[in-house]
Amino acid sequence: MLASPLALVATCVLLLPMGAFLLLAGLVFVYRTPSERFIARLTAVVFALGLAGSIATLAGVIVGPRHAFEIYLGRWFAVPGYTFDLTLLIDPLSATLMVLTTAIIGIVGRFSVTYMHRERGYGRFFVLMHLFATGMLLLVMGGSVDLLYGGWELVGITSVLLIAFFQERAEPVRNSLRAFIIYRVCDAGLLLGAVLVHHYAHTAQLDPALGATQWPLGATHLEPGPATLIAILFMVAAMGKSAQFPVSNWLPRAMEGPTPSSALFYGALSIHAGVYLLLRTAPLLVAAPLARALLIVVGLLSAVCATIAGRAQTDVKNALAYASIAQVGIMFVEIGLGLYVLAALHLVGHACVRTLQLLKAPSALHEAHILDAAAGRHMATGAHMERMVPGTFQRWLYGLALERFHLDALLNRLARAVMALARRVDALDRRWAVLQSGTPHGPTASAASTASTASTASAASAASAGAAHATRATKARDPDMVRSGES
Amino acid sequence: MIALPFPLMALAIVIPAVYGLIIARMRDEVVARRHATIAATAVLALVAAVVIAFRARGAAIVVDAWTVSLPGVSHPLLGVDSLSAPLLPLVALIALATVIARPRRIAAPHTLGALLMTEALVIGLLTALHLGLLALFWIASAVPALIEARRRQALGAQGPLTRTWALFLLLGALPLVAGTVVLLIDGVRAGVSLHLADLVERGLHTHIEIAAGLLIGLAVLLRSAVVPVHSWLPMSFEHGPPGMVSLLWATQPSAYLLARVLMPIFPDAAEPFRVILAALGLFTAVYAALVGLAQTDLKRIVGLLATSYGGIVLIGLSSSHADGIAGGLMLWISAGVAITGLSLVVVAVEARTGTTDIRRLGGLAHTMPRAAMVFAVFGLAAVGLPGMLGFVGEDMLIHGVLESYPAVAALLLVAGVFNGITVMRAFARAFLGQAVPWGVKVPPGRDLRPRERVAVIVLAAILAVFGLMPGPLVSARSQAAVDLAAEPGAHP
Repeated sequence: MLASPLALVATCVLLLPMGAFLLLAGLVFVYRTPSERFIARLTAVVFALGLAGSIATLAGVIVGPRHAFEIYLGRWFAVPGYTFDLTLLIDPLSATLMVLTTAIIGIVGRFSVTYMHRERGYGRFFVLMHLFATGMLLLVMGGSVDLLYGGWELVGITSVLLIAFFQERAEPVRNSLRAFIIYRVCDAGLLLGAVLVHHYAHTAQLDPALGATQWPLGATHLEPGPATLIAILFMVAAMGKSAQFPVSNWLPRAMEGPTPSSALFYGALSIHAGVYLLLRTAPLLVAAPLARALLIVVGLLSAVCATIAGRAQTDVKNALAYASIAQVGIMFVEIGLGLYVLAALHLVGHACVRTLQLLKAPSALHEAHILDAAAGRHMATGAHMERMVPGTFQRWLYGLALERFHLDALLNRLARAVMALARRVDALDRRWAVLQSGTPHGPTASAASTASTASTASAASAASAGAAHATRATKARDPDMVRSGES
Repeated sequence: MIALPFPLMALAIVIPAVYGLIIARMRDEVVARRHATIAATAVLALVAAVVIAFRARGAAIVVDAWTVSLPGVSHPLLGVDSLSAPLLPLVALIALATVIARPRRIAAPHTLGALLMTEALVIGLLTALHLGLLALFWIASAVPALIEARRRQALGAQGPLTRTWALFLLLGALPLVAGTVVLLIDGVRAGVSLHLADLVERGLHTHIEIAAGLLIGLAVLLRSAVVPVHSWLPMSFEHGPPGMVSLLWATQPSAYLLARVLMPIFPDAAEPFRVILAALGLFTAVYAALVGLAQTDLKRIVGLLATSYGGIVLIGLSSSHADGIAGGLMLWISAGVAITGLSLVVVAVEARTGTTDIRRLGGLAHTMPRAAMVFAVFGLAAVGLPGMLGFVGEDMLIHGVLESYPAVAALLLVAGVFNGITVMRAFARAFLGQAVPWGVKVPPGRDLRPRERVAVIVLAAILAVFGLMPGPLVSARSQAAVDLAAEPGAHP
């Protein structure tokens, strides 16, 4: 239980944004969106207290008698043969991430108070930001793989909803759907991995199962076979969340969201969630050389491709997105090589720098002008790529960079194949239904029937006028998944 | 066994049945809705009293004592145990929420009456302790909805539904009736009644008895909407009377028959049957999830989600581990609530736009932000958002299934991925973006009404409260799961 004051403080850090989220979401749904001033003050208080608590926790872990401890919050549920305990794991790694999380969300929150002023959806933005803070803190503090997965999913869903923040435009909505699909597919790896940890280690607690408390020196008790399988599954999840090769191209698309959320998610925290997962489960990687080798390959490919693709971007946020992918790729390589402390340092440094860059992105042009004026000449970076790559090769590489290494086309082809299969099975299914009922039963029939049941005159006329259009338009309009790639 | 001094369960069946008949004959919609609300609230209070009595006494079963005084009855006919206890308030709450939230356009008195009749029959099904009575309620529970569907059809709505639905109702009823009759005749010879307690004690041993069990199993399969006999379920969501369909689905009559009758009385021969069930459930879950990807109608999407989750619940129930069964029972509740919530939002959208076709919708969140929020919450809850009940159920179920059938767990994730994409895609296309030029727009000020809001808040609160604090519900469900997985004698 909450034996020490330190444990109480650490728990409060997690509960603060959770409480703020519940309060704001409840007010928005039941009553009305609170005033900007109220939201701003609440956010400031929550993250000021959260940051103070995190710093106290980190200090306590570093100077205190125990460098790592578990906080037992109680039994969440139990069935015979399966228990789910709520535990938080506090060690130097998670305490550092707690400080990073609360500090960066606090700073970005303060930035957003001004940046989002009088924006439609101001309340929604902060509701989602507090939910994200809850998820992120759960992710870094979770003492079991299941709890970590819970935080992971919350981070994913808030990320998707914030990409679609400007919901009246079609592009952000499509891009959010794309990010969701990649998250959903890759997160299955984490869920399966968590269940497998349960299966093989008979517990999902990070400490006994993955030897986490002596991070990064702990050792897992798992056999090499299961350890490799689980490590690869975790790697798949990390690749999705951290936008690594070959599923990296959702990240620049995610920049359609408001700038503060881009900074928060794709500069600072969400993008590093995959790195944190791999660092947290480092003892597993020690026992799985194959997974480490794969990590190095994925990290290298991501870093190289993102560096090249980033150079062909004309939008500063896109360029920063590719720079993030490249840096995270290098972190993957570091983890693959076993340099866990270096990777953790890299993570913290990169998060801080990238947040600053992304927050300054909207005024980047303005700053460039000031710099140029001060220097008296046009400030340009050196043409590193041009110097390194031979001339004939340059154009080909440029085309490749513009096409983002054809990765989108590849994924679109996959999505299209699945959708084609779904449509074919659906057609067969409808035919089978017709066989049973003896009457045609298709989208056209249902549209017509809807029109006939609509009782209000306006709805009925709108429907009957629209039915013909709709059926004609069906062929023209492909579902989002396919279309998003073509745009 | 605890005997209740008052006939609470009988009242919970009779009140909505009689009141439903009266309401169906009313003329004024407003008055009818008021009476229906009173009736549904009364039922909720009654079943709450039963469940509180059950929880407080800590007995294995609570029964209506008066039934023993009927001529020729040796055991109580109505009772509640660990399996049915959480389902009763679930059904009562769903019925109440549906009555309150129903848009005026489809809240004709006869519809409300049929809804209450369905509620009565479903509560009868959940409390029956006699196989004959149970079979009667099982078959009858879909009849009001079917009659309602026929009435809609007469008004010019969709045609094929009633025929298909009636066909499968009949096909499902035949083997159940046959199996019950065989057991009855066999029992008369052996001097054993059709009370579930007697049946469980006796078990199924002779060839005739096992044949009867197989017939009941066939009824379960036909009514479970497993592929290839699934078409009626998405169809009923698409064209059937809203509310009644989700109430029936949330009760899962087929899964209930499986858990109440088949699993306890069929312990020896259950193993091969379990494998068949798990395989069919898995195929249904993945198939419906795949077909769901290609859909453009919100109602059909909800129907296919229901079909997919029906399959997943079957997999959980057919796993031989207590955590898998408990996960199935949890998911049964969470998916029931989430699908009902989704249906309520979809019905609200249809009442305002006249369509549920996502190709003609779009940008609804501008004028219906609360409806959008509710759709997202219930949709994500259905696909296992952490902090919601579905996450707990899915976690337990996948773990339990992994112990029994490892490959199934991996394929189950595929269904989960597809279902998630379907929900998010439907949300993005119907609620986000802009209305298409040929689409329909909802004018401002037509977001969810206060009564609709109350209904969805109650349902969402169930998912969130038990999602954050699942302990009590899990222990209740795991008791049922242990009863089901363990020796048959522990069950009534």
